[in-house]
Amino acid sequence: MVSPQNKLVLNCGSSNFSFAVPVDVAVPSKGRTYIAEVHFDPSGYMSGSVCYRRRHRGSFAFNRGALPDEVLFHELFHSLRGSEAAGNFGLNGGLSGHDDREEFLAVVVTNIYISDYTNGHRSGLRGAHFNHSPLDANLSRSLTFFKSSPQVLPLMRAFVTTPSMRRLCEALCSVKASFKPVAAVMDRSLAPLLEKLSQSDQSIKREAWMPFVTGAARLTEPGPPAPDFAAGMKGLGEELAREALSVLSR
Amino acid sequence: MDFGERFLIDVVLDQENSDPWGSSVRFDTWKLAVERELMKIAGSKAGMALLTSLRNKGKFRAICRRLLRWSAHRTSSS
Repeated sequence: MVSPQNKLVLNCGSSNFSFAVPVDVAVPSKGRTYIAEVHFDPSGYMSGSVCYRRRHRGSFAFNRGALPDEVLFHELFHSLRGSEAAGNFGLNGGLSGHDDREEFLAVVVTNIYISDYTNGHRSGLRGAHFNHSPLDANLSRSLTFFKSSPQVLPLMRAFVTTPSMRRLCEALCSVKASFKPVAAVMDRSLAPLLEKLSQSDQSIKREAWMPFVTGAARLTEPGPPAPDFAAGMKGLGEELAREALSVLSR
Repeated sequence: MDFGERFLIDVVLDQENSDPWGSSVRFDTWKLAVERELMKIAGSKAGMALLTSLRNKGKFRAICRRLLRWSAHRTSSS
């Protein structure tokens, strides 16, 4: 099987971090065209796995948007964005937990998927990209979400007006879900209200103190699994035992 | 008909890379697990919206996993 090359690479499940390499050239493979590649291992997000335990996925504080299908949805969204991700930039203030624009949009759209009433098995709305913490209850509705930061409204407006995202946004508007900021920003009659929410006291306050909260949370975030020390020691013990036996048998 | 044929999204194997965590899961096992998650996504309206957008873009995306171990296993057993 021929592997695609020079493509967008997203790495999540097997190493638990994502990175993107923007690509301009599509490479034909198997008579088809691939320009994106998602690296994903569902077992890393299943209960009982080492990753699941080490990252405390059983805890409500660290399991939002962390079901295997939710993680895959998130990465597929990055894949869809493709070349749109080329103008990516870092976020700060009230959105400092989202790292950058692409991750923010991926978390928002995945939250729509999570809150979709036709999605039977779901975790809960995710509040930040750097961990899987829950979205604050007072920000978890379609309109109140715009109180997260004054940056939310321009980011969402830019997203829904991107030509290549238009069909997706229209389709997401028809989804019956409890969290639909895409539909809210596409509804022109809501524009004055969204402006007001975007500049609310809560929004301005979050812009000031969220970087500190996020910084502290990053320090306490559960780390990735450590190497299997016990297995390593067992292998070393076996090697030593074999060496000792060979010495004794001389 | 598997997921790829239904939704025109391939699940392919990238043999050039290694699995950084040293998982010994076989490729077929992994592929079935990924397809199960894809079917979950396709089972919801928002999920179907994303998959349809991917398909409508006219470009196929590959869902790959780094599986040098599987590759090595296959090489040694053949």
